[in-house]
Amino acid sequence: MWKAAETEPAGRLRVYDIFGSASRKSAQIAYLGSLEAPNAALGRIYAAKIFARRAECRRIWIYERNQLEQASTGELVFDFSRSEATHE
Amino acid sequence: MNEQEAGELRPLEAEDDPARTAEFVAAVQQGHVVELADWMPRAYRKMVIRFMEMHAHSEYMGALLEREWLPRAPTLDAKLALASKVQDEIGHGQLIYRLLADLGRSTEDAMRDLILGRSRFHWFFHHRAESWADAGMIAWLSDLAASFAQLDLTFCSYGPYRRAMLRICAEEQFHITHGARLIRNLAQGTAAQRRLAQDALDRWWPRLLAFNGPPTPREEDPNITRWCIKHITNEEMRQRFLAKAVPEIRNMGLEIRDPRLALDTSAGLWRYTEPDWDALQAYKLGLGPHTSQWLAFRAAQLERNSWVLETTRNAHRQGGRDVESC
Repeated sequence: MWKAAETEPAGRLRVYDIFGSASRKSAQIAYLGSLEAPNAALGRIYAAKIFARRAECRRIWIYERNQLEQASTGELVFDFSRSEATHE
Repeated sequence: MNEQEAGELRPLEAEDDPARTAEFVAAVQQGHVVELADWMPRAYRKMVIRFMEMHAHSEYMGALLEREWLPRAPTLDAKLALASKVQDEIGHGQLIYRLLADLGRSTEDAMRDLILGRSRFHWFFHHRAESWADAGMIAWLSDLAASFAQLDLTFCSYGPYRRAMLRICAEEQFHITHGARLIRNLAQGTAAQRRLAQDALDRWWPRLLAFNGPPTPREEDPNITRWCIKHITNEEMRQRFLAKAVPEIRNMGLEIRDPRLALDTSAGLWRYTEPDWDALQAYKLGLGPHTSQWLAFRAAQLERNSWVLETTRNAHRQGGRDVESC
């Protein structure tokens, strides 16, 4: 659920959320943390320096936080099977 | 991220509803992990911010002690290892400052309060590393002392902090190994090198003994009993440190000059000369041996390097156009 990034006012750093492979041997993608950077190019460099200096991750993704969108819950009303055993 | 932006990620609490607070306390005591978007009592938020801010400042300021020895490291390998450690410590600070920003405590505000002496950093780092052996002793034993607290924080009730601690704990293990190797090289070296290592231990041992803080009883620490930010007491951390460190230090041929230091096997506790807890109060007032010098250094660095922040903040504009390459 990503949308085009809004233009930040001049002089603001953007917050990026960083995802990556959970370990050197694992393909599971995990949330690694966040950082502030002026743009995605520098964000990728910072992410590598912070989260992958010792090859902890084989791959890294960075996403600007303001691109995160709320997922639709419109069909919740049709979920008759929902119970505490399987859903919050 | 300012308070308003932080509010877009989490519901801003108005007043602490007593019933809701009691429900929150019961939940964290049963192991519930609090996330950024969750409602949390103001007292909890304030305590988490205070706890993390002290930690972030300690990482940021603590790196200064060893940084001094980067130009004077005896070999290129030692210089690279030390540079890697110092970079790790600053990185740990960055991780936690980011978590603070998400809670509405901006890095700029946190730094300003640090420089002005309104925020504290761990008193242990209000000293200087007087020798190369000091740099090794700090890396080995202070990081070891801290590791028990940090491991406990991987069970912290505040989710983002406990997850950041996983990375921090892993990297601290490198630091402990680096420091132990450095001290072992000295302890197994010439007579002058052994003396250097012993002098460093004599200088830092009383501080290491007090590193984990005064023996506050569990029932008097709300971070344990109420908010589950931590789970073990200062004294428990200290006992674990002694159990690990004392045999290792002695195996290196070094002597711990505390006449009271001994393992009480019947109680299963280490006995030691009690640190002067009252003397540590001066550090809270910014009166440590090297406090003002370290803060002045940081203030000067922030001023001298402000052009970097200014440049990076405006880096998204190139040639008069906005550049987006995400």
